[in-house]
Amino acid sequence: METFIKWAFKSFQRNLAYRLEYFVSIFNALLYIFIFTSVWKALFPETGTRFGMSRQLMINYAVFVTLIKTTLVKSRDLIGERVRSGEIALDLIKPFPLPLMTLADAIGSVIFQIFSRSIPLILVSVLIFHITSPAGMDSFFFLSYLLAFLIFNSILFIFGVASFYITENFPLWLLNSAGISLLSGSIIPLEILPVVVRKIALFTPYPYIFYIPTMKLLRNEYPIDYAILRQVLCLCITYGIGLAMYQAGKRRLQIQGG
Amino acid sequence: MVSENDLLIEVKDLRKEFKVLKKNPGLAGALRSLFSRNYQIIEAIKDISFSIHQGELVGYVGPNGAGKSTTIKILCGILFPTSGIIKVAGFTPSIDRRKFAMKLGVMFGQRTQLWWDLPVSESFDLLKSIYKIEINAYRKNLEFFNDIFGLSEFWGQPVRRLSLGQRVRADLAAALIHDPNVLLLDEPTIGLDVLARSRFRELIKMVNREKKTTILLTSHDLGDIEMIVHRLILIDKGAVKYDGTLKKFLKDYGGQKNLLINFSSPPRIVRLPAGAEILNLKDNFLEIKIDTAHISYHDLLKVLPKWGNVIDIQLESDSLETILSDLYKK
Repeated sequence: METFIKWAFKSFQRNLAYRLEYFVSIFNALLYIFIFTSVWKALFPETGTRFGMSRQLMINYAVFVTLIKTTLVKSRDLIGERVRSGEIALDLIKPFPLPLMTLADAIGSVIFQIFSRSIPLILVSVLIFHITSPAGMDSFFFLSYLLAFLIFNSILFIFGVASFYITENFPLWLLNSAGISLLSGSIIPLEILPVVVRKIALFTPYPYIFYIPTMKLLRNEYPIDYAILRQVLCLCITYGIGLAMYQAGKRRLQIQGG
Repeated sequence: MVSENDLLIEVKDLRKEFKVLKKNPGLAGALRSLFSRNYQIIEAIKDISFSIHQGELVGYVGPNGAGKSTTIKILCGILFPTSGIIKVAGFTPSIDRRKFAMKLGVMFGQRTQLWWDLPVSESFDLLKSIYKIEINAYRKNLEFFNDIFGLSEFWGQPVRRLSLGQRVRADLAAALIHDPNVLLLDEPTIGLDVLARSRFRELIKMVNREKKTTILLTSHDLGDIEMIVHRLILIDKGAVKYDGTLKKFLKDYGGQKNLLINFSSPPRIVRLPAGAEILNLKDNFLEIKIDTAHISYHDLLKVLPKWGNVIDIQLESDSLETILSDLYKK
């Protein structure tokens, strides 16, 4: 446990190392919020609802989903990069399992994002988009957010470990990004998607990452207990797949370089 | 005297095959391989057996593609052998990897296990937890490595700001901080300048002497091998070609030596004995290559006064590099 906590702490420290990256990512998130709120303002009437959602709810959705996304999303494929460079060898010789290493790394990174990026983004959102405290900010939301983080990390682990089999996993990484963009609700809430796409989405892990925690945050009446059960199931499946791929992949791994 | 109880690394009938994609040439071939893929089996290691005892310092050499790094990775437990028996410090590396990791130190020359963006001290702090090093042992080791590696020079600096020489010293200390029984070094001096390389060699010898760490070293810099190791394992095309002391190897395979002779006046060479070959003759200087399998120094020295008045003789032996390069060509 000590190693796990230390690893997470080092990951937190590493995130502090680059100032430019920090400011650019805040600016980037603000840009995303501005773009999506502008789109929803143009598409939704000032009064009344479309797809059962009001304009203000859509604006709130755009702000909060971007906040959640900012804290969770990592642009780096840690395992894939290390497999391609051969540095994975140095991870595998340590008496600390790779799945725990990547989880600790992700926790350090998320804690950094929450404290360093979310706070300035929330302040700006309150001032510019008149966001008020969301109705569903309770322990269920935090549980849902935690599960979303674990599911997201399990998905990244699956795509990372895929590089044990095919080395160049970039196409899969792109596929994952497309899945996140379309099916996770990170851009468009599931209500607005065509019924068929929505049904397909619910059979993938993506809506359980961004859509469900955001809807819980915005709508207190959201059936969260059922959604959390589905998140737990999704986590078990993705974690199981990742672990099985990792165990089998170790035998297939070909480490690059002399 | 070494006993069976001192046996630390045992490799028996090791074989490793890789399945690799056979690329078809040209654009048509590339398009065809999208739909029909042909694989071929590459035998990286055919049949390797050796054993290493506690405290030995062994050089593991061979040309590119001989299977050196593959063997090292199998010994680390990060590659699975196709067949064969491998025991390191009583463990089968690929099966007992996590337990075995506590006994193992590894350094890959072109890679670092230190956290790139953080100060050196932070990586060591993490290693202390990973290897569950008891605080007093950690402090003692840190002091020892600080004395010989000069870690305090760059202890607080981020790894990305270190010179290559500093980084290599820090990496070597990191590989040894948990007092491993076995240290595997894969091309550790690659990219180092002459001074840093010479210092590194001294450090390795000191660690082996002081800590009794068993060291297996692969290096393309044969100076490393000549200066550091006592025993040499030469592999080629995935099989062992020589396993014995470095001294015996140089004696057995380094048969060709050059003699540089300075005469008082230009020599008059009457008859060149078999096994001797003139490489250069200019004014009073004569350079001869001799093959000790055909002629001894004693016999040659008896002939020299017949050619002229000898003032000085210098003997140049084949370096390990020359011997190995000749062997690789065969």
